[in-house]
Amino acid sequence: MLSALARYNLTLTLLAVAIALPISCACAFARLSTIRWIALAMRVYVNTLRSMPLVMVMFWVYMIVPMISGRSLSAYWSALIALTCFEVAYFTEIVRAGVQSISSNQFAAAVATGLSRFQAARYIVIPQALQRMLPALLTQSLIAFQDSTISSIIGVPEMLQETTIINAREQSPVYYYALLALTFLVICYGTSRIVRHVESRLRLGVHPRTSKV
Amino acid sequence: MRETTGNAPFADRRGFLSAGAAGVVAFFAASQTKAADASEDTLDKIKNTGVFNIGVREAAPPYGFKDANGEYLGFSTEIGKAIYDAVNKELGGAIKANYVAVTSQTRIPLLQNGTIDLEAGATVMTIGRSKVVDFSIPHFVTSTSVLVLASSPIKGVADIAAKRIGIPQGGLEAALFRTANEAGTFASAVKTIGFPDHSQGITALQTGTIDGYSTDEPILYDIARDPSQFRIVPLKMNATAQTLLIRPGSSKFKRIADQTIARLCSSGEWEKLYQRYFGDGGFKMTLPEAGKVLVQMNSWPA
Amino acid sequence: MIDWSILWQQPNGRSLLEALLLTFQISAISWALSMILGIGIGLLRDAPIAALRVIGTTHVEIFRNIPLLVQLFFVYFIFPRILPTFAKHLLFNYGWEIVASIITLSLYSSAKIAELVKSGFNTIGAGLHMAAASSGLTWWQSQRHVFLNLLLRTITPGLASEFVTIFKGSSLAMAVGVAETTYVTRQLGTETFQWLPVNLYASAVYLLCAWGIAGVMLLVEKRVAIPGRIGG
Repeated sequence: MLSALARYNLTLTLLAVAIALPISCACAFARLSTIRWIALAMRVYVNTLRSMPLVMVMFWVYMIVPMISGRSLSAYWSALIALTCFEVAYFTEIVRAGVQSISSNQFAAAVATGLSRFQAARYIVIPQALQRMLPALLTQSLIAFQDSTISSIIGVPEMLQETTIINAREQSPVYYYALLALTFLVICYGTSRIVRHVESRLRLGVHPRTSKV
Repeated sequence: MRETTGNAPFADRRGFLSAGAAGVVAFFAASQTKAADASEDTLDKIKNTGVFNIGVREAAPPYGFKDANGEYLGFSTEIGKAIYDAVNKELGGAIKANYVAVTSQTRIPLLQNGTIDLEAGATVMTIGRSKVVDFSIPHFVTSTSVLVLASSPIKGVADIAAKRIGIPQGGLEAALFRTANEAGTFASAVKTIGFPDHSQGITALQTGTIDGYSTDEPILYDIARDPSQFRIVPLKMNATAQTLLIRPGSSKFKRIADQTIARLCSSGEWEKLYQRYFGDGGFKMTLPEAGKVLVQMNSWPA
Repeated sequence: MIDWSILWQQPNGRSLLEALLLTFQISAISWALSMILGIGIGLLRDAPIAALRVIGTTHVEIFRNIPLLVQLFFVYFIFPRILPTFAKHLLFNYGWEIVASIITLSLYSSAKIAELVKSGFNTIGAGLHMAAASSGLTWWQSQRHVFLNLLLRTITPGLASEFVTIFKGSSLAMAVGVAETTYVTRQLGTETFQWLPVNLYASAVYLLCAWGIAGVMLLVEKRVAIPGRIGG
């Protein structure tokens, strides 16, 4: 039934987001790194992935990975890898914006008290950055959830595909597609309201002049 | 904050120039992709490694599919098994069979890099593909037909002129209709619309956005089990020969594969397989004329 | 082995070019329509009459929260059923796939643009609203003469990124059979088995166009930027 297949969309989205987030934190720092080639490489990656449609990324993964690894990849895993790489690009930009909004004074102060740069990043800067960017991260995750339907094009039997298959049997397209649309509407609208609620609850102290924390 | 997600991705030009440079490097690197060891005959490779990797389809009934127990079954899969038996006998009986699931996207890359030694699926022979892989003698032949609603006025090839016909994306129906349109086979050109999946095509047919859905006959028989809703109109425009794929430069292996298929045809095994998967045991599709000719052609005298 | 010539051999070369043209056409038309619709809806959300505001908000929430592909299927499969037969035949023969894709993309992006308009209004600030009202302008007059110009210049970066999004979104039209770039890529790949060249070609198209659009928009932005505004 339709709801059973939320299993594919939800797992795709949740797994992709869960894996992409820590990678993005690292990538955000790489992007801001003083070592030029690392920063450049990250910028190339982020800009490339953000300019391509997700369908293309999925086709790439579906085709390239077997060529390199020599093992056939199922549609589900291709979609997962593609979605994860895709979201890493977007999350990296979000986290980077968050990190940049945290005053460098904090970083310097942390290092001055004896924390290593990595510890300062992990315990001081990142938590604050994530907290600040939580609304943007959640919004992007919602977009990822919507994008999970694109995996139907490479054959993942997720909600949209299931609806089409059921409809091919039952022949009431209006009913089934409307049901599907309603499901997405409820989930996405509901989550976006929660995001707005979270946003209003998180009143963080902002420096009056520089708008940095 | 200007640089948030809403912004255009290439606002920084340096970022893109580097992407372009990276792209050029990737292109050159990709051009040197390692091909499979083209010098080694597949038979020798199997002898050396002791394993025969058979590429099979797991979601393309009745050519290849997985049954409830996870076993690989199917018309082409069984022919692949027969070839394995022949190879095993030839090489002394110690070769293991390893089934690898492939899809239409991955069959060529996996064959080229050696993950599979034979692809036993539903691959149509085309000139373009023959530049990349070798074919066994054809093991099956189908033709393209059109599925229409039972109430549709389409009864024959002439009726589909100027109609909208859905086809599966990534299939050869596009080339077929394109050539037919150019050759003037129809009174006025047929418009084809490609859908990513058969179920979308069927939905389009039901809602009336297309007048017919066209693909290989066996697939149409599989989708259209209900004669009160659907009708299959044979087009008799083509007979596509399907084959098993072999790495280039493997004439010893190809010889065994071809001999196996010939033996299946002349001994009547082929017909039994056909009945089990396409005929009485499967779709109730009677053996078309072209199929009979194929069996005759493949029944080589000793 | 890898054969790049399939990209320009006929008839492949011609279908790739036609596909490219189609991608551009769909994106451009959708962008124009979604801008008109989006700005309209955005203005509605600011209207003095509560009913109009509700309509605006409903439109935005519906088209933002349903995935593009689901919307596309809805429009493509279900919309023709409510039309009379002659209209249906007209649409189908004209190319319903393309029309449906343009309609869907326009609706989807209009919601995003309406959101942009709302944030644009916030950037401009309530002060201007009050100033316009106190000068005796009606709501419609103040929108037309005071806000529109300012608004468009404020949200230019957002509009640019929306165009790139639409451009990427046009690739989804392949799900209903539009022969645009991603579609012919897949088709060519199957016919020739040369997956690497065709995928590289399609990726190059999207990358170059995203860069081109962003570059052009950057120039436009610089010209219309409102001096003295953060982020304007």
